[in-house]
Amino acid sequence: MESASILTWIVFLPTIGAVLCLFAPKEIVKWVAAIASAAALVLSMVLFSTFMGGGDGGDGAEKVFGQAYGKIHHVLRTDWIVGDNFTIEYFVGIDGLSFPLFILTTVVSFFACVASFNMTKAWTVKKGERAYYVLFLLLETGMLGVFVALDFFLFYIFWEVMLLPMYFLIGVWGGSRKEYAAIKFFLFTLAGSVLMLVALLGMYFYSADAIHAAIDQGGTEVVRQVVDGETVTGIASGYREGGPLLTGGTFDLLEFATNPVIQKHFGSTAQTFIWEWLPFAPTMFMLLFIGFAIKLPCVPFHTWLPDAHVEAPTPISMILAGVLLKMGGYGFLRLCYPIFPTAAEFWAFLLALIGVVSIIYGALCAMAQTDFKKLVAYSSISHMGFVLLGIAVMTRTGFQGAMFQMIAHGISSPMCFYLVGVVYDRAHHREINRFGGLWLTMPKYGSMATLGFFASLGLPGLCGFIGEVYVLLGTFEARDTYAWAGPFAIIAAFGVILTAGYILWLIQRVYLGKAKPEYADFPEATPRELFVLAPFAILAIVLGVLPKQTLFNFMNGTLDLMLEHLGQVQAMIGG
Amino acid sequence: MSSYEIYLAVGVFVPLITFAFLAFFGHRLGKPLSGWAAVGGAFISLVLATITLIGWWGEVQSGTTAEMTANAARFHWADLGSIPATVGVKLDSLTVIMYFMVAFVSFWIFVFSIGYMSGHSDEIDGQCEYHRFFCFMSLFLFSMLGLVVASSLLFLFIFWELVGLCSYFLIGFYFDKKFASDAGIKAFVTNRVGDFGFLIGLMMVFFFLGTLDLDQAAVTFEKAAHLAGAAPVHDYSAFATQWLADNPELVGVVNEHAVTAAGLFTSPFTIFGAGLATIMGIGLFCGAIGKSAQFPLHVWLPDAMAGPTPVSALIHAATMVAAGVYLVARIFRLLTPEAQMFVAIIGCITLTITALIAIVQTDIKKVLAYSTLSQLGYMIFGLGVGAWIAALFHLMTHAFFKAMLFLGSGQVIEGCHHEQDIRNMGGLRKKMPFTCWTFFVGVLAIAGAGIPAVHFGLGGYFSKDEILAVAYERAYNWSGEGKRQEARGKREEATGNSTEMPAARAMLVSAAEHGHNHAAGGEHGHGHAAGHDGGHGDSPKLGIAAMVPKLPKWLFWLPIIIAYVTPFYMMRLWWLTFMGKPRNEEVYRHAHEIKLMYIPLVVLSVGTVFCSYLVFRPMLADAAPMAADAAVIVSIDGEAHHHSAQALSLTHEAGKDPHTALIGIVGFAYIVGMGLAWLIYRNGFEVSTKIRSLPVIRYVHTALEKKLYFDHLYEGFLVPAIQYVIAGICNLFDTYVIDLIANLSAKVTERFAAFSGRVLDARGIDGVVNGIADSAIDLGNAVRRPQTGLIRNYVLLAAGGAVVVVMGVLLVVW
Repeated sequence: MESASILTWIVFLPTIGAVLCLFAPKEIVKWVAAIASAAALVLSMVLFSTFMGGGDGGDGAEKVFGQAYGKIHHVLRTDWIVGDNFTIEYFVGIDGLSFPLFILTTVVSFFACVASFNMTKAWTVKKGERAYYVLFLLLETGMLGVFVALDFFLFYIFWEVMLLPMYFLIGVWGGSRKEYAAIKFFLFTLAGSVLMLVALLGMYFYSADAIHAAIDQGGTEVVRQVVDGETVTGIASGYREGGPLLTGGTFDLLEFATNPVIQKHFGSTAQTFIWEWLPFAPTMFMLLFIGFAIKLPCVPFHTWLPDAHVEAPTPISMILAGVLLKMGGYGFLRLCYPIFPTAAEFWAFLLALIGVVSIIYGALCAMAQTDFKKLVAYSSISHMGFVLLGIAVMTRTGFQGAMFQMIAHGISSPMCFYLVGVVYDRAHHREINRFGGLWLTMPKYGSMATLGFFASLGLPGLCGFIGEVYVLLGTFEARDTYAWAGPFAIIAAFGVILTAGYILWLIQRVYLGKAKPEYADFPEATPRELFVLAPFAILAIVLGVLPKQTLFNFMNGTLDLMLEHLGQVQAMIGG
Repeated sequence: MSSYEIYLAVGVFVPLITFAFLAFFGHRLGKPLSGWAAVGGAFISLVLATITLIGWWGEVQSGTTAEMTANAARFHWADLGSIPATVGVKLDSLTVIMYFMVAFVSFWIFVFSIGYMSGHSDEIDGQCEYHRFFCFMSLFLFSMLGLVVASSLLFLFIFWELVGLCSYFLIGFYFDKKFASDAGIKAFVTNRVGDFGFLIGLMMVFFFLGTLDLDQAAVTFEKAAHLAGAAPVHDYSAFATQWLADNPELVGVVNEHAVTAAGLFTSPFTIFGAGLATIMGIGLFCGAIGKSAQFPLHVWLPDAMAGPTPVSALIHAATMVAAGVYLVARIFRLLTPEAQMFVAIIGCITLTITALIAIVQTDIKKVLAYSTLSQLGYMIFGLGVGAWIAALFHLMTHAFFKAMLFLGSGQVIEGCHHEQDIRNMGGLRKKMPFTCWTFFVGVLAIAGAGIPAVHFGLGGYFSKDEILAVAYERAYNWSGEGKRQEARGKREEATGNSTEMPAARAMLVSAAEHGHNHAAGGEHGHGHAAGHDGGHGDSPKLGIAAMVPKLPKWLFWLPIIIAYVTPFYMMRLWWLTFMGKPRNEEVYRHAHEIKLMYIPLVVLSVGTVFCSYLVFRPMLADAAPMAADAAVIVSIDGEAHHHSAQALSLTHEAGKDPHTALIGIVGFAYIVGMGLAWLIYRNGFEVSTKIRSLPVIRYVHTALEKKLYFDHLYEGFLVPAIQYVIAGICNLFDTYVIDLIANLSAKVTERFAAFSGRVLDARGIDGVVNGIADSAIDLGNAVRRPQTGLIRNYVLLAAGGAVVVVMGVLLVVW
């Protein structure tokens, strides 16, 4: 019943679309692109059948996700690049962690694609519509791939695949300072990638050491298996019963996390990285963390974001805020935490501190902006601070909140950016102080805008609230473990006042007040614009009202198992 | 799930449907149909509320309410970590009454609005915004009713915020005017400041009590108080383990969270001497400070008068501001004596300063706004001193008469063509007699007019005086020890024997009696272990309740003084508006009364006179014992216990009529205050102008006119400090420090790359940096010369690479 190739189809459908775009007649290029991303969207909906009813209490979680962390669905794994002593697998699969983000990606991509339709009209220079959609679709493949890749190398490749199209999309179709913004985006992300690459190599070779040492010692973990008449000596897989034995290093992300041999090797406090004084696990964790923190982004690695957003065309901003930022959070949850749980404890204070600073600092910066888009960009930084904080405290509530916040932000921020884009298309500027009275000029658009910004503000009943309140409760809950958790929760809660301040002030300056004559002839939002806005509006409400049915049921199982796993590993290494 | 819950729940959602309907189709319905649609929705809610009220009245008579409260259904909404968040209808007398009150007052205000808004809604740039008004009014009604029925603190908070949202939209209804949208923002942000405290309280409840359900939280809190009394410890989790090890038979019997919750009392952490338990209560109360506009967050309410007058009546007099009081009533069991004292002090400060400010205001709506603040202060103060029944009773009576007063002012403003300044009015009784005399009923009600001996009076006469009587009890007749004995006696009477109390619990309790009560301190901190009733059934006098101290005398006398000020400023307002000679001929000549708008006035004034005392007071008394467990409720009659002999009533009864108790002090305050106002203002402003120019009074007057400079402090200093200075500094820091570092390092790398490219590479040494930087520069150049051909190459390249990958994968798959 579970199709192994469905994920691959979804991931590469946009690529197929990109190829078709290359050869399609010029007039229908955008339709080809839209159909390709729509196909990915429709096909991704099929995945719901796997996850329906999961996560509802212990039984449901186990039914859908298995008994321990590492149970995944729609697995497709096969050797891809085989060297003398290493194997890179094409290994994709989906679980409660990646599933919501995967769906989010197909949704946001499709609507961003539709949002691109008027680009050729709006552009001052008509250039490369075809190239735009090709890159756009390649970007979608990259994003989808990141969320399903379970081999670290494959993950890394998708991560990089995403980078290049994004660079061009900002750099070619962007605003006046597009070159600067594009290079900045590129270099920041590349810096993160390099750190990740170091971690990748480190993890591969150290896991190889661990396996070899275990085999040499011939302890109880060593298993012999007869494969094709040959006896193979190796270590049993940590999460696949009866799976092939490990005989050397691996790139398998789940293996890193679940194999006791590797975990003991990684987690040992005596283990060092390159130099004697550099403890292994905390270093690896930090390398990965910075890589993902740049993407999230959190203070002080965030300055590429406002520039990139300001210069990027509207649909690309939607993708950037809606999906790309989530990869940071996803990276924490997929790589950093399950693989280096001890290091997670080690760094908890620093991470939570960065999270809290991002929340407050981002909100304050947002308050000072006069550029509409920059304000929304800084608010993203503030909101993503909640993600980091929720993860850092490692409580059940915190994890749930962080995940929810990612999805909620993935809905509210593309909506906000599109709202900015709609008015930019008409006014050709983004100076907040020059606007005013737009609600009177464009009533439908104004109502949508109010809803979008209130979702971003964290108004109860809309999606932003759930994530924030969960993170706050989860953080406070952690005061059992960490003395600083209580004060941090309180400081983060202070953010709600600042957020209300800058959002309301924004709404007042842009939408309220007397209708200005220079904007009087602005047409009301077109059906196409409403078509893009409405789904986000509906999702914002539905997620806010029924968080359990729409989201928690799908992901709680995995998050629970992961937390359980974290505890087990900590106990194993500690004991 | 009883039928009452269904009625109430349906009644909550009907206005939501109205809202959605008006949001989509309101502009097609136009004027006045969209208004009538909203009225229809409100009417259904009102009918359901009435059915429930009548049915519930029967339940109260037959004493089955406690059972129904206990059996109310809860639905599983989501999980907060491992803790289920449930939602349901909090079914008790307080809910039923509040619900009815909100539905009733709202319905009549909706009716009034149809008339009022037909003249007011076209003001926004000539666009018809009529339906938008009723749209948000419906949403408000939904939120408010939801708030009233919410069974958990989380949902209370959710509706709480929604109510805030509606008030933001309605205050800023004329959003083309800057002051209106400013007022909306001020209201929302000020409320958020309070919500910040609320959130902290919520986090503490969640963590320590392990639930957000109101009832469960209260029960756990109470148990925690027992445990904490048993042994003051600092490391509570170790204590919990130890304690359960010592009492193995209680494992599973005692709520585990009660043990964690004991940390609230035993933690050594304090702020200004307040322990965690107190901080938690104060945190939750902060929400009420914001919403009920208490000092120091009272500043938004007077500004909120920028909204249309029916909004002022609905939100800022009758319902929304009452939400804060309602919250305090709901969390009453979570308040320690210190927290209660804090509540009382905040209430007392508010009621005092706002009443003084009300004396000098000249805008008819502003006077009413400040009088609302002052009355809210009375309610909060009442809750703080333990007058739970009286405070909520005052909430009900106030909702009626203040809504009526506001609608009356709306009639005046409408009739005088948007004139709001009472200096330009006077003599209007001839032009609008109906409004004049209903308004006067309201003035009498708020002044607390009544005839002591024959037990007749208007709203405030019963409710406010009862609060004051309780304060008197607490200030003069209160002795914790004595009342303890009394309460113990009553308890034994009530419970009869110890079967009411499970053995485990009784043991817990007697352990608590032995302990030194760490948390509450105070002179009555040491319990007695009197071992009758089989060794463990002695009075479970809760540590907390016994600790409730005497009230400082000033907390009694300030409200008394203000009880004289209230009739003064209300009489001043009424007289200057309706009586005397017209001061502005222009206004007077055009003044008229709009007939469509009377009916609500009349209905509400009838409600003011009769309804509340007959029904509400006894029902509140029915709800009271539910609220009293850890906390002390002081009441002036025996009604409170009539229906609840089984409840652990720590309630103290004075057993006196408030009007006989305080007849000498406050019984005729309304005559004195109103008389004084008449003396000063009977000829307009002549006398008062003279008084105002007296040496000291002059400064006081200016200070009051400037609202004691709170707005100056907030809007002139605090808000700009954050909005411009701190935010600006952050922005500069971001641009010139963090970003500079990023740019600099990029520059350095670029230079280094150039250097390595020219020098190092030329010598045949390759570096990683080199590669990266070079490629970056190349790409940069590529972009700088955006020749289509080049881009196409890149795209082709990228696409080609992707195709190869796909092919490879597909080959492998099949």
